[in-house]
Amino acid sequence: MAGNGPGGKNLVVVQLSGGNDYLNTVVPYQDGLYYDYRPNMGLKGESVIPLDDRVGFNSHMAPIKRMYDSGMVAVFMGIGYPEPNRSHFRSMDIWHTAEPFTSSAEGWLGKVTKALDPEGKNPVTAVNFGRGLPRALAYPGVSVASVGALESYGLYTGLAGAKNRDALLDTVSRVYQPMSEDGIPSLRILQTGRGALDGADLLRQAPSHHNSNVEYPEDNPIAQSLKGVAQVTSAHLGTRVFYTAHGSFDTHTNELVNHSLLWDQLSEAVECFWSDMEEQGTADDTVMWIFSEFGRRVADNGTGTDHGSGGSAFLIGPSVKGGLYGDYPNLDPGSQLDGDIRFNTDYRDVYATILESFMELESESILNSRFGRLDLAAV
Amino acid sequence: MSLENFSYHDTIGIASFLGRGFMNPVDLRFDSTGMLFVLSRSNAGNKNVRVSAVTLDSEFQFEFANWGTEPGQTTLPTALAFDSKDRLYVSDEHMHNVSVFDREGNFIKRWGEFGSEPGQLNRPSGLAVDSDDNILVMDHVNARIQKMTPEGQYLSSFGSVGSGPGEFNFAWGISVDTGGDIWVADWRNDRVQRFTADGEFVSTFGTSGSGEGELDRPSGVHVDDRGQVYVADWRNDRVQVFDNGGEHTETLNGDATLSKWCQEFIDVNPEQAGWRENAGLFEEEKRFWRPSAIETNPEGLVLIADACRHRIQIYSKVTEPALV
Amino acid sequence: MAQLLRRAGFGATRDQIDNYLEQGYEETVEELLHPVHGDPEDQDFVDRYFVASVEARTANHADPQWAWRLATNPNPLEEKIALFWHGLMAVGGVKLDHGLEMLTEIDLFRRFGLGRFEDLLLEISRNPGMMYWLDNQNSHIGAPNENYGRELLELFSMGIDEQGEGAYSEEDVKTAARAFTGWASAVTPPPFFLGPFPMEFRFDPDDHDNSEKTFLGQTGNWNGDDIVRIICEQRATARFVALRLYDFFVSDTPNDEEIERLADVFEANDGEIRAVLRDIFNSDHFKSEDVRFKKIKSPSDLVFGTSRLVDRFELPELDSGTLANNTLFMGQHLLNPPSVEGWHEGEEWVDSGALIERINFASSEVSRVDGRGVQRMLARVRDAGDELDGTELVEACLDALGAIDVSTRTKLILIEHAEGYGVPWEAAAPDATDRTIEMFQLIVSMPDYQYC
Repeated sequence: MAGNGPGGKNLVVVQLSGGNDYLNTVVPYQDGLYYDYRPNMGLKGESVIPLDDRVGFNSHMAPIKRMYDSGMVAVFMGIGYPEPNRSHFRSMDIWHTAEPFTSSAEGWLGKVTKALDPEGKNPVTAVNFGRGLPRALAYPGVSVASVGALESYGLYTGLAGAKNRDALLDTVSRVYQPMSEDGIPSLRILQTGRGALDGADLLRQAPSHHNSNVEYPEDNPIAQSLKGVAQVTSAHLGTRVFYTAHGSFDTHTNELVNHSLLWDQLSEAVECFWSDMEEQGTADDTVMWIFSEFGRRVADNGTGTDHGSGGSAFLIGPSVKGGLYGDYPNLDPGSQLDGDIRFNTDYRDVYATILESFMELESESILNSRFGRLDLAAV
Repeated sequence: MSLENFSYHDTIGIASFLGRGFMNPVDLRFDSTGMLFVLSRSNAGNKNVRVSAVTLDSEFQFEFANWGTEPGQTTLPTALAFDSKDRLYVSDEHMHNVSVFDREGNFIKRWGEFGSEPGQLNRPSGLAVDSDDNILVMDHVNARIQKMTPEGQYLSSFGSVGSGPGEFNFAWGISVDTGGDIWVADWRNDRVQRFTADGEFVSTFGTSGSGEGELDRPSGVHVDDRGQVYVADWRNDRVQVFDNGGEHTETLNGDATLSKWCQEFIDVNPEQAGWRENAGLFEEEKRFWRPSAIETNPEGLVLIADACRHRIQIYSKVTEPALV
Repeated sequence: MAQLLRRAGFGATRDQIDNYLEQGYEETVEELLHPVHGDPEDQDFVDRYFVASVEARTANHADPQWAWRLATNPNPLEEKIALFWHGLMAVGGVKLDHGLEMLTEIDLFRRFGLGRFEDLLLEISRNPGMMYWLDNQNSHIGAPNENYGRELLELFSMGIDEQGEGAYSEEDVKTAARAFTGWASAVTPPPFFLGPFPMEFRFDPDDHDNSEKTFLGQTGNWNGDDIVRIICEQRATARFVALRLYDFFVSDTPNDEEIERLADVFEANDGEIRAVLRDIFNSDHFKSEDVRFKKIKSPSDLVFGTSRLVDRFELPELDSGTLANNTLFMGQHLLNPPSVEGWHEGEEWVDSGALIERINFASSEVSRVDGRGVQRMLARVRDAGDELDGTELVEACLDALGAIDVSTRTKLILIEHAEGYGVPWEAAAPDATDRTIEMFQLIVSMPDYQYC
């Protein structure tokens, strides 16, 4: 199946659930205030890989540092939104709906999917890796495939025994045919069922289209999700939006151990994915967006950090002009916002840029407003 | 009536999904070195179950028995008990088994399977160890106490469903006293029953209600080395103390102060400290909310797992208890 | 009768239908309309096995409580009406991150949801969670926050038409907001270290606007309860409530004539919801083919209907505690509606991802051979005859699944499937149970099963 809608790149989203500690991701290792506020959780010496003479990556991001050096990683320092909310749910919603002030049921990527495939012709325009639909992908009339593992995706795969799976599928497939006369069951339900069955077939077969020398580690969940993304990409099903999540980054306690492990996993997974994209020849058609609902308190709590605001985000791909964007937030007490850093880049400016510069979509109708565009495309 | 007085001593704990802190602590036991082991029960979808090892001065050591069905993991854990060799037993109401760990949290083995045959279990709840190092399991849906070897071999059992003497109605916590008698928090019968080591019914006390000496779904019972009986009067949100004959002597409603861990949290989260000040519910903060289990130590401390406030409230006995 | 139980409840097993039939239709309606409110007998079990749901710090922690009631409450209308008001006066975990208060609200809907609408509106206006959810905290004398005043009129009582126009003016919204100044929830400590504390409503007379106000043409020194009273005198309110009840209990397609009639019933009965529902359930329209099997099941209908059919939970257990995850996977996050507008009912529920979840959940539930409900369904099919041809087998299975119906086309395909294994199906044959279960699995996979 050919790609649908206008041209533009595929978007791979990696959500860091739980609130990634920004200060221990992009570390202001030359700032004494950082160490004053982080007597227990401060990263020093070999725990930091310097990017310049002010900031460095957490040492568990070494693979991402390599990609950064090759110029394909844009780092947003102090991204956020006005009037920060420190509830996981609400803050995540704000990122998902691109609406910081009002509660909305419509996800920005749901709208993207609608824009890419207005008639809903392709059941796999957007694929979510994980169960249950993130609000980001919700939009009336938009169907999104939510996949645990590709190989076991579809109907009856969890049925005990399931000796009779083929027989069941045969009959179900006969029933879900969009017949012309409308009644009960309605045409729409029959079409939805047809789309679900076709989409499941396509996705289940996707791994067989994927030949790669990259070995994604088995015990790394985000690596397995990104492997799934690579498999679906290789099958050329017309999928344009991929959604994955990694976590939990809610490191109230035992942060040094847990945060390191999460970034070890993520960095390794991201590096595998981009090597694979290079091998498949699809790297130039792909861009990856990594975000979290919020950062954490400037001060640590002894063994971890609590919910804060403002955060880090990354845009990755060979088509991205790498580097540091925005100013590193000032940790001076007078510059803080109730113990948190202040944001300086509005996340919707980055959304607008992703939509217009990378996906070739008009952003205003999707974001309900006109936002600035950043100069992020590699020349 | 003998009277025993208690004074509030300290509080350990903070609500936490992992690491330092607890999530709905439902049982607690000391090992032979005085290290405290606390069992967090958590919820169906939240998966924050674990056993945490902590010192009495709020130093978090390590955790184990986290969520899962693999060996060394637990799903709906209910109770703890140490044997004389410092092996820790953890009952699990979802997997219908008992897991055994050493005092460092290393998994040794697990035993038990679902069923109602001798040796099989249907939601094991309370655990206790007798002086021969046999494991007593409150096999609560089967309404019986089963005596097992540390290796999980069935030895004997007693009890049946009902409300008469020696009968159980979804009983929960159990305790063995220094004389070897077995005490049972007979949860849905709103009473405590006492048995000999052989399972002969001895006596019972408690009736339904919220008055002095009355019980509303008692979840835990513990007998200290002086024979004092502590009952977690679960749905009345209090702990009642009885003498060895079942006479009510004292009621504890909770006196918690902010734990060291809570204080640390408050210190770095001034905004939330402010909410707390504005709310001003300082009396409400002290009270028990579904106290579930009690443990004592030879130094005269009484520790109560305050399940819905994610903490251990500690009292000390201020006078010598009257011997019965 | 089966239709009544699908709409007023979550469907019923064939045995339950028989019992109700014996009792009589109108008597069953009355029984459903009069739930005995109070802590259920088995409340202690839910609390014991899911202790974190006792102090439910988030909506997610509260799931085992409501899910258990949804799956087991012997009077299903008590839960159905709570679901209805939960969707209409939606308060969600996304902002009100307080599971304990969410459960309090659901209980408020159980207690007041069938009574006078005015009482319900007053209760919800005094509900601390609602005050917080709609920012009445920030509504002060001289600086009223209009959120509660607006939603009270637009979403809870008088409504707006397709052009976004209501039978009230912007001035009425502002007046309502002024009348509700001083209505708020007391501050509670944050739940992050000791768990949550129950929320409490607090009226602050010093922060209440005591000046004269004109609301919907009536002038006086109105307080919030006056606003509620005046709202409940409006025809628009009667029509709005009638429309929403019709939409939820009768059909996804509005019927103006029925709605006007129900609005009359609402007015004639002092706004009692019970009276309107009684009228709905006893009406010829409700019993007619026009609406039978024409309403899309919500995820809750599907999940709790199927688990009630299978009747597998004797005690709260891990699977009952996580039942609400299944409605979430199908697009309905209980205790966390997507916005203040609640959920959109109807075909919007079923997208392709949700349909896969629906089919996988229902087919796996009816496969639980050791479940009490499945055992009874298997016995029903055996009782239909020792030898059944394809049509008879399909008919027997549809009946065993709660007297449900499918379209002619669907039935033909099911019969062909049954015949594919050779007929007759023999009750004594070794594969009899497997074949029956397979037919159950297929029936609940049908597009027809998505309707109630």
